[in-house]
Amino acid sequence: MNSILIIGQLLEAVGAVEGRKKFQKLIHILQHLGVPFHFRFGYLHYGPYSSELDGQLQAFEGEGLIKEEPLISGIYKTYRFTAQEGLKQLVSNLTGDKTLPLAGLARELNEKTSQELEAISTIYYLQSGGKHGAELKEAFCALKPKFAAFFDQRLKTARELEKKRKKAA
Amino acid sequence: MSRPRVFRDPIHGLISIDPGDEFLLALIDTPEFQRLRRVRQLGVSHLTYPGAEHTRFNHSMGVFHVAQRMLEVLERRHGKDNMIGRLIAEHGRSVKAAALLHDTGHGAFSHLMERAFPDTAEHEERSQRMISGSGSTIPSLLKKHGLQASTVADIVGKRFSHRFLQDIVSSSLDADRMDYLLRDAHFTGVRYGIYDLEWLVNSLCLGTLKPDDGEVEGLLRLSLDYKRGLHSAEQLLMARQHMSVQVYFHKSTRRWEAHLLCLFREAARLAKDDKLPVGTFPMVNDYFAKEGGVEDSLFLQIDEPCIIGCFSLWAQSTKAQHKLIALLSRAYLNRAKIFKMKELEPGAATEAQWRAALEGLGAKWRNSWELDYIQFTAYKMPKDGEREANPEDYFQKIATNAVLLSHGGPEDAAMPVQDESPIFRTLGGPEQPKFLRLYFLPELERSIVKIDKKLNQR
Repeated sequence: MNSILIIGQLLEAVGAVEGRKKFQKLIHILQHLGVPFHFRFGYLHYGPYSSELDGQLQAFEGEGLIKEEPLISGIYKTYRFTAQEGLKQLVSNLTGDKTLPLAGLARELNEKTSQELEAISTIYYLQSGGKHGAELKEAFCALKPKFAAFFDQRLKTARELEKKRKKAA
Repeated sequence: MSRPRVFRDPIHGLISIDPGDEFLLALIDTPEFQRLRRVRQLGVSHLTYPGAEHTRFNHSMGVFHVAQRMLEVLERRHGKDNMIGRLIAEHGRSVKAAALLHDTGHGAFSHLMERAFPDTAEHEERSQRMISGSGSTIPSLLKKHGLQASTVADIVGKRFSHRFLQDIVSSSLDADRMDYLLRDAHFTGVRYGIYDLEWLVNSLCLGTLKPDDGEVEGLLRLSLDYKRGLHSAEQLLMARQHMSVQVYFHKSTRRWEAHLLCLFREAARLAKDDKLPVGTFPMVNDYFAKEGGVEDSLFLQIDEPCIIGCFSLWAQSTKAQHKLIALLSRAYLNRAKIFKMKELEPGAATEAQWRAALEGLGAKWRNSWELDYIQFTAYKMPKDGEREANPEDYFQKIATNAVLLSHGGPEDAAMPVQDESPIFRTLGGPEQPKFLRLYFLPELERSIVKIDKKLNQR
């Protein structure tokens, strides 16, 4: 399935995604859990990041398929992504009743903060690069000293998500 | 080794390995690296540009050479700074190894296999496993020579903690890009890829990239000296733009890629049912049956000669169930252009509609068409106003994609080149080349006309 349809299904499942960082981490985590996105992720300051995904979101916005509107929350400004009518129609025409694989998990992830997702996504990224056990913790704390205190908690969540994925499969 | 070992190279003249870097010779002699002699750098571009027969082996040697030159320039320029001098001394050999080995995970036909089987591990991940995985001969060699395989793999995997050293292997100013543009230009005969490598490398320096919010520490990054490097960076960008349009996304080359994508998918379909023609190499059978998702030991056996050898066998089959694979194999070997092409209005929605309609023709026809959507940007740049509107995202994009300029000292701020260059701003802007092309076998022509009519009525 091409990426516009699966991104359309994701937006249909979660309603809206608040913030580009959250969008990136959400897709990285779902891709790790087996949802067939095929984006290449590299590692950056704020965790795994795909410039390919970013470019596609920009292109979809340019084609009027998704809407990115500013959202003021306290002193912070962020962006809310929603599907435009054209995309909803396209998804409905082309995918019919089929929904996003792991839609329930996507909704659960979307309830979390972008910082939580950043930590989970970083754990998966490091694991896929071969880091496990003490080495994983060490690499995580070196990359994310700000989140070091929450490592065990986030690792637990990351494992629970994988269990839920298996159960869903 | 008391004298440098030198290799002749058509792009760089002599590639020299210094005494003390003998480990690189040992790495070159590994089966993992020698296999790259049997993987062409540009997949099927030789069918469009007859000279483009160069391999990942030549290119990897070139990347090592450029990386070595970059290290020398940085050492000369910043080596007296204790911290930088120490880091270069400590990790320079790992950077050279990473530059040399960065493509060891490339499958036969380069990026084409990844397009055919998107679920297979990406070549960068495979390269990291070749460097540090238990099934490879490379980790023990690195260890023997006092290097940590995990450090070399982290540099290739973009996880290395000293970013300016990683930048040498992977960034918008990396040795990979500097080599492949010149090499591909030379072997294709397309002169657009030429730029001033000497000046560019000699303009390298370090700078500090820091986000506006100050929440994250500044990072020492590979940059270009503001006064010297701007024009050579513009040349590099123009070279990338022109090579992409003229060579990498050339419609004839993409036609051959579409041809092979159909052939590979058909081979996978048959292999899964154990129906590839008798005599197919068992490892090729396994490779296609698993759509490329094979363990590293099998992956190492799959190169272009063994796949092309199977094409010769498949081309001769007269069985009905092999009709398509025999046709595609014969046509590839004889360079017979059997795929037709239709240009479509580029756009994600159009692509999705066409793809759905083509899939609606049924599984029988799935390996007779390929929809190819190309959106190309020579330079990825944040949108206007993004810095103010969304500083974190702006910084993420700059840190990933920008060519950086600095006034030459490591403590000087590294700035994205587009702030100073209208050429970068234009080529990084929203109006960039896009192509949506449908390649198909003539049997599908009537169906294509019908789909076109139907979609245009909406």
